[in-house]
This record gives sequence, structure tokens and C-alpha cells, in this order.
Amino acid sequence: MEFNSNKKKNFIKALPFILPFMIVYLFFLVFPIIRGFWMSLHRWTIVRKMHFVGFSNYIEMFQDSSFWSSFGNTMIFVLVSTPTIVLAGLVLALICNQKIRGKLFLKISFFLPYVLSVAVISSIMVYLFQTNNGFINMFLEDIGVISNGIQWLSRDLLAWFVVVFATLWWTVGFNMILYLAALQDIPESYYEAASVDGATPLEQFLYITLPQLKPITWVIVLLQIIFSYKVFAQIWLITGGGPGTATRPIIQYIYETSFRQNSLGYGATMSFTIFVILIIISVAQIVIRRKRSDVQ
Amino acid sequence: MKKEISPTKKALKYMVSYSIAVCFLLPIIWMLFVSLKSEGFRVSRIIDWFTPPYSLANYFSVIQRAPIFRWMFNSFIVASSATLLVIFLSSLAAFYIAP
Repeated sequence: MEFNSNKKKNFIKALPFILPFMIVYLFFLVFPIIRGFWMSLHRWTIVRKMHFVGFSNYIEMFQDSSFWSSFGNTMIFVLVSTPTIVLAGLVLALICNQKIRGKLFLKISFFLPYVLSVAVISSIMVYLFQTNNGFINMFLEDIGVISNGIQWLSRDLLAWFVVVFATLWWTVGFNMILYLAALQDIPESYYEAASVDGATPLEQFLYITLPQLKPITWVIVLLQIIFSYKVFAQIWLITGGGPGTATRPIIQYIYETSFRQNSLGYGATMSFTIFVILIIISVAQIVIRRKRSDVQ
Repeated sequence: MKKEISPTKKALKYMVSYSIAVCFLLPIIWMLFVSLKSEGFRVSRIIDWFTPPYSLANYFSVIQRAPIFRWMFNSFIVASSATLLVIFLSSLAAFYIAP
């Protein structure tokens, strides 16, 4: 009894602290999610009134080949960019963690692109990869590798390469910072003990560094998957989804249906589907992690 | 106990590390130099990007043609108010959620 009333008292005391956050959270996050689901059950255009159609938007989505192809593009981006950017982050963090002069310079150079906005990095990339007078093509011509400009943005594979390259250059600094913090948390004594026992640097890396980086790797991979799933702005600004629709990600398709074709209901349907997929990925990751730590 | 690494290895370490860093900086440096070129300047070799003449003409024309300070101010309003609100609201909430 007494415990209960104590709990109640505590809750009332906590209320003024939690309430401001809860109001903002409910109003700007929970409400839009529910509202989005509600919208997805309607046929709704700017000119016509909302009218309830149940799950027919979802049925339409499953038959929409454009949905699947742009969803496939996003999956390709996630599958290619996640390992690339996570590994690159680890490599850059290891570079910064060596015994080397000018660590600050290295850290700043790797992190600098991250502070630029997506519009800036996209226009840099567009000018770097232009067919005529682009930096990359001119460089390759100057050193004599190619004689005609490569059409970076009008070939499917090359356009993908440019997009992944741009994202790598732009965002890898963030992963590097996370890895670097984790690397610096590994006690020096582990390495000392290992080298007394005669472990080579490679063995130290494999049996001390990598296992110690496991927890942060889970976090980085999850963040990177979520980030890669939401890819839109840099593709929109660099390739515009092209050539054709070869690099069009799902978010761009949602944007086009919602705001170009004014099918807000159908756009909401696809958004909600992506939302559910992301929730499933996040929960699955947490569950796998729990199970693994239980085993150990 | 500790062995000094050989000079070749050391040189290699520095070369690899610093050339990656320069690759990361290169697009930004390139952007800076291009912004200093006057318009209509022809480039036929890569070295042309980085050699004079430089001019600040682009910067002046940006200031004249576009309300860029207004845009910066808009960004500033969004960034500062969002930061303040997030710090205020989430620190209040975290204060009571934390055990």
C-alpha cells in the first residue's frame, strides 16, 4: 500500500519534468504516425475530398511495379552502403588511432564533409563527376587513363557508384567518430599484457580490438541501416533518380506520388510500410543482440 | 621490449594516412578554388583550376543578387531554436527517467 502511494507521489513529482517532452513527442511524432496510418486508408488528392477505401491502397501497392523497383533500389543502396560505410569508418578510426603526427588534421579532414549540408555535397559531386570539365574526368584525362570523358551520371552502375561514393565521403566521418571513441576506451593494459605474452600486432587487433568494438558496431550498423533506408536527398540532387529510374529510391517515389501526382493517401501507404519495415529491423536487431549477450 | 618500426613502414604509414586525408579534403579545396575563379574562365587542364587569376567577384555577386544573409539568418533561427528546445525538453525528461 505504502509502496503504491509512494509510486504515485513520485509520478506526480515527475510529471512537470516529463510532460513538456511528452507533449512535443505526442504532437510531433506519435500523432503524425497515427495520422499517417489513417491517411493510408483513404484515397486523398488535393482537389478531391478524403474518402475511405480501407486497405485497397495496400493492395494497389503490392501490385505496383514502380513501388517494387524503387524499393529494390533502396535495398540495393542499403546492402551496398551499409558494409562499405561501416568498414570505412572503422578503417579511418584506426588510421586516426595510430601513433602518428597530425592526428587532429586527420580527424578534421575525415569529419569535415559531414558538417556540409546535403545541397553542398551534392553540387560538389555533380561538378566533380560532370562529363565535360568535371574534376574526375579531367584528372583521368590528364594522367592519360582515358581519352573521352566517362558519362558518370548516365550509366546505371556508374550512377550508383557516384551516389554511394558521395554518401561515403559525406557521412563516414560520423561512424569514424563513434569508432574512435570506442577505440580510445579500450584499456592500454590489454595490449601491454598481450605484447608481454608475445602477441603480434595482427593478433592483438583480431583478439583484442575487434571483440572490444563489437557493442559499438551493433549501434553503428543499426544507425547506418536506418540512415541508408532514408536515402533521398543526395540521390535526388545528384542523379534525380536517373538514368531513367535506375537509382530512384523509395522515398523519392513516395515524394513523387504524394506531391507531384498529389496522391497523398497512396504516398502515406508506402511511407507507413517503410516505417513498419524499419521498426521490424530495429526490433530484430535488439532481439538478436539480447540473445547473443544471454549466450555469453 | 618495444620494437621500433622500420623507417619504410613508418613512411608508408604516413603516406597512406595522409593521402586518404587529402582525398577527403580535395573536393572541398577544389570548391574553394572554383569559387575564386571569375566567370567565363576557360579550363582545359586540371591545373587551371588552381592557378591564378583569382577574384572575389563571385562572392560579391552572390551578396548582390541573393538575400543570402536572410537565408543564413533563417538557418540560424531553425538551428538555434531546435537546439535549445531539444536540450531543454530532453534534459528535463532524462533527469527523471535516469535511475
